[in-house]
Amino acid sequence: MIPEFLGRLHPLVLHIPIGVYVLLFLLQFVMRRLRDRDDIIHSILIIGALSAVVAAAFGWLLSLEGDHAGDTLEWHRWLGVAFSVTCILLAVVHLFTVKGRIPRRIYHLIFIFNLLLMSAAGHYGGNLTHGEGYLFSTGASDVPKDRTSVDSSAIFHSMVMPVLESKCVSCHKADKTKGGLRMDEYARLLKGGKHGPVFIAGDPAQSEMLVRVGLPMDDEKHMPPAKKPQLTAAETALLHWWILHGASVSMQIPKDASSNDTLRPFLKEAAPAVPTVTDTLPSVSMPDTANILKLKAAGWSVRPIAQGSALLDVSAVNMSALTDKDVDALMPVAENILWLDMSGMPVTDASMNVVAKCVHLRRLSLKGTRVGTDGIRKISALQSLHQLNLVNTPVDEEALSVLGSLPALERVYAWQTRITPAAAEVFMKNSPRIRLETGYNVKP
Amino acid sequence: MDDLMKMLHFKGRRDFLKGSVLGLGGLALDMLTGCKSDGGRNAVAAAMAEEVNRPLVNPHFMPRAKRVIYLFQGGGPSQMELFDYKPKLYEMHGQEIPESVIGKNRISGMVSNQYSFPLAMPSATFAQYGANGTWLSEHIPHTASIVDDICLVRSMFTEQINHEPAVIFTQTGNQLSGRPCIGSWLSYGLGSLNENLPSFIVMLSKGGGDQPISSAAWSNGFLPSHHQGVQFMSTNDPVPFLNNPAGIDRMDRRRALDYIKHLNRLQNETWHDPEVESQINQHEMAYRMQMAIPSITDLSDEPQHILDMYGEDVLKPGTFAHNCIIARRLAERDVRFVQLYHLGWDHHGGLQGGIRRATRQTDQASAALVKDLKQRGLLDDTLVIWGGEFGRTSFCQGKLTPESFGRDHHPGAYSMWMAGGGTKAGLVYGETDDFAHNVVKDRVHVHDFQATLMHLMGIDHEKFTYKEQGRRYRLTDVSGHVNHALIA
Repeated sequence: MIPEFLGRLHPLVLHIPIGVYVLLFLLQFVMRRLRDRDDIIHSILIIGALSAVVAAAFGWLLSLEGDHAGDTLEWHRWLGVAFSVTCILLAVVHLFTVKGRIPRRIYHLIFIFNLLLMSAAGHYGGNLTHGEGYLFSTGASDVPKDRTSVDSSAIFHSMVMPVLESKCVSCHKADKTKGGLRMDEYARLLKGGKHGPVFIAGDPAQSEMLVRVGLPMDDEKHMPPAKKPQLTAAETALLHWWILHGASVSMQIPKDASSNDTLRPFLKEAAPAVPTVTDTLPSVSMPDTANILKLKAAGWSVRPIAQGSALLDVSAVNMSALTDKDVDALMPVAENILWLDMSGMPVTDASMNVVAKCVHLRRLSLKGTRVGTDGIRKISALQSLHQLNLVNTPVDEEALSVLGSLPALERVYAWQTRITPAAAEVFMKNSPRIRLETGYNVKP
Repeated sequence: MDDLMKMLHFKGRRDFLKGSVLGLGGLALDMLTGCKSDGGRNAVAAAMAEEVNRPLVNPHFMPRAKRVIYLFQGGGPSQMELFDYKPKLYEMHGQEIPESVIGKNRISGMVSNQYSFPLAMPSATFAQYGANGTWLSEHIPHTASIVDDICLVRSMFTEQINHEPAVIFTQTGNQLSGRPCIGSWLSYGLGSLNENLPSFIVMLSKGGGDQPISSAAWSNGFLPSHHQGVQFMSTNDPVPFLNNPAGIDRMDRRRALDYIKHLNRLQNETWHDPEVESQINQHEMAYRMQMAIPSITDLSDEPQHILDMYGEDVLKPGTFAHNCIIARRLAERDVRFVQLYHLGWDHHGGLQGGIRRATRQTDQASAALVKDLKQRGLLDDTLVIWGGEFGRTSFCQGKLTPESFGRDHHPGAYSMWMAGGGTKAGLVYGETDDFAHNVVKDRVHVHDFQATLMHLMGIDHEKFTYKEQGRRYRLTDVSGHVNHALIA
């Protein structure tokens, strides 16, 4: 407890010797008026030596916490020790100089050497805290490392390492080696940290790095630390997958990676994503909220087709009555409607004037409405209509010629209409891309 | 303060915090409705609201299915008698199942003391149907007639060998009861399409088999309780106490409900308990159902030729056929999730008779439902699922006699089918070995099936979670992959 507390005072205490020796430099080499006040100089030298020893000792205590490791720390450590030793030496030499036993020039030489030691130790200390290159950095990111030598078809280099670099390496690298662990190279990762290995090939559940990631956020062992960017679920899944499959540095990206839910998000090339129905959705601008609310108030069910989508699924399922005039309310959002369901509503051909404006409409259900062939003629320009439900409507066989010309149409439901199964057969022979369902049983 | 009060107090505090966060979410809604509010505060509200459980409201991506009808076949239908033709079993009738096949697979306590495991010839003849020449059993001629419309999976497997945990596993993704079932997840996540009907309705066939089914299978688990499955009773009056008692008219009922709601709200100002909100929701739903339910259950507007499709039982409440036609009527009214439970597939003995009885009760109506949905244009966005909690063994349970034999539970391989809702029509997926004992190709785990179901509903099963007791839960627990091969 106390050693740790003292250790953490190191960043405070270390500034005392710096101030002291800068002051001494000014007194002896710049403000010559005081250069011969050896009594004062000597007192300051003793204060300087004491503060240097304390700073070094506190620094040593801080290093025991293990947050830092590596070459930078070692340089800082021993330069700091050398500096405090020289400080004592300097005080002693000064004593003899005053007595005339050592020439003043030797003392000055040691003094300058001491200042250099102090600067060097300070520089490495600064690098430890702020990162290497902090002093001369322009704020831009590090120069990209030469990656031509690594195997870009290996899972480790092309998928795992970028994750580690973005989420782990900033604290686990050569000049900031928290927990004695470096994650910037495969060999270092394999070596593990001061608590032992960080992964066990083939056993993700026992692998420390995944165990840490899975701890609750308020657990102090959770990694990355709570205030740092966390691994996404996909990244965790990737590390899990890689460890489960042997955690080798050379394992190649499997051929079926694009169908592997874990690996697909990390594929560099535009991986042939699993085709979804959303691929070809039209892009339209967001509907005006006021219009949506107006429709909802009128009883329409209006939902975006998916989260954040501007396309709408509009249905009259919750309405008890709907007239042709009511359908006009759809006009302001006509472009946004992808699916429209007016099943069971007593709307007629006139309502199709508005529907004809729904240029992106894909599914239309007119089941049980009074829309007839004339209404179908009005929507003959709908380029995107995939599915049309005409069940139980007065539509007759004359509508078939319109249906055949709808370019995107794939399926028509015409059960309980005046379209006979025989006519449907002929129609499907002429328009093979359209499936016209006339149902399983016609009223005898 | 005693312990109970203390607990309630803290629960209240937690829920109060939740309540106030939702209140801030309400600010975001104001923004949506056109009231201008300070953007910064709004962003804070949104960020906070993200921390608590919130329903999806809208699917993650464009759904293929808007509704689900799940025809659950409880007890474990025998795949060898129905969907998975194994000629080898006829040849090897009476011989021991090879050691290499049975391996170290788990067998149930009911046969673990059996010293001999003789293979039993399926009590059915098979023929090929449909455009793909799919082998199906003589017991399911009606299903055979829709084989080109269904997606038959012969390679299902599960982790449970006993009914209750296996049913719960299939429905909730976990073998122990207490988690929300599929229907509750969907009701919570996507809400109701029809505001006058619950989004999740459950119907049981009357007098199925020996195995009971527990209501844990349609439980909301830790989700708000108005998302549990609403069970329709197998009587002429499927929702009990829905009708107003004599002397009370609809306006009286309205006034009473309004006052009760007022009292509930008063109460909730103190307690901030989400369950009070659930209670209010349920009262309101019941009130609206008073109008909607009679129009669902009154089959007098169904023409005879439609009734004939479903079979002779269709007018008897509580039969599978009756429930199927009600399910179709609910789907027509956009009820999100309808689940039928038919029991009576647990043929440990007397399988020949049992399988005939069970198929007679279910085959015609199942096929009729698919056809009826299809001719109404509803099959494209309604996912129909037919299947149980596990399969059965190809070896005999008990003594193999010419007159009678039985099959035990078998989790290692079983069959189920889906139709519509974006599944690939006419597909036969997966393969089992010659003894229908192990899956040899394209295994589909229960979690994969659940993930695929969610995908068809437009939901990413990995992103749809609910935080409870310190961890996020999802239907597929920590596994499951969407099987894109099953999707058209």
